Amino acid sequence: MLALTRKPGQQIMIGEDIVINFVDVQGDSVRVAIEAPKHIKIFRGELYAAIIAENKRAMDSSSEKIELPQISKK
Amino acid sequence: MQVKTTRFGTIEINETDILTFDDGLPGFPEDHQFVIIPYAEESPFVLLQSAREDYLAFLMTDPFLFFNDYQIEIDDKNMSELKVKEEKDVVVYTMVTVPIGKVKEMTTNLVAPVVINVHSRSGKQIVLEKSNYTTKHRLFKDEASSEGGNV
Repeated sequence: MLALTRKPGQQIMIGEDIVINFVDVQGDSVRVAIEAPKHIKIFRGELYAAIIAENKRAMDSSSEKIELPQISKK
Repeated sequence: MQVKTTRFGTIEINETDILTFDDGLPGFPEDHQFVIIPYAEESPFVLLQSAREDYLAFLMTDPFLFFNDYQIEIDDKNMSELKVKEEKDVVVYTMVTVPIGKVKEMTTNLVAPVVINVHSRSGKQIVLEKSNYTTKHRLFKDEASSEGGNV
C-alpha cells in the first residue's frame, strides 16, 4: 500500500484520468473531490461494506421457514 | 431444468426464467445465474435463488408496495450494462432481512436495489450512492401490530 501526505489544494493522480483533489481538512474530516471517467464507480467504502454485510444477513434469513405477513396490494 | 433450493426443495424452472447477473451480487461475486421464485400466492415477497447453489437465496420484495415515495435513479453505466432502453423494461426489488424470531422487525435494503431488465433477462444490484437511503428500513411500523400488518 502506498501512503502519501497531501495538503489542501494538492492532488493525487491515479493513472492518467483519475484525479483526487484534497479540498479541505476540518477537524477529523477530509473533503475530497474526485475527477474520473464516467465508467469508474466511486462509492464510500463503508457503504459498499455495509451492503455486503447486509446481503450476507439477508441470505442467512432466507432459509428460515417463516410465516411472512400478507399485505393487501393496493 | 431443475434448481435445488434450501427453502422450497427441488423446483422445476424453464431455462428462459434464468436471470444473468454479470457481476454477481456484492459479497457473492461468483454466482451469476438466478431465478425469481414467488414466496407464496399473492405474497409481496419473492426469493432470488441461485440456479447453482441451493443455499444461496435472498428474500426480496417490491419496495414500492411499502414505500410509496421510494425513488431510484439508474445511472448511464448501469443502464447500458443492463441494456435498458425504456423504463418499462425494468423491475425493481429490494432485499429483505428478517431477524431470527422477529418477523415484524424485518428490514429492507433501499440503498442497494436489485434491478432486473425483464427483456434482456439481466440483473444487477446497484448502489444508490447519492441517496439518503440505508441498508435497513423497517417494512412494518411498531404500531402496526394489529393482525394482518397491512400497510
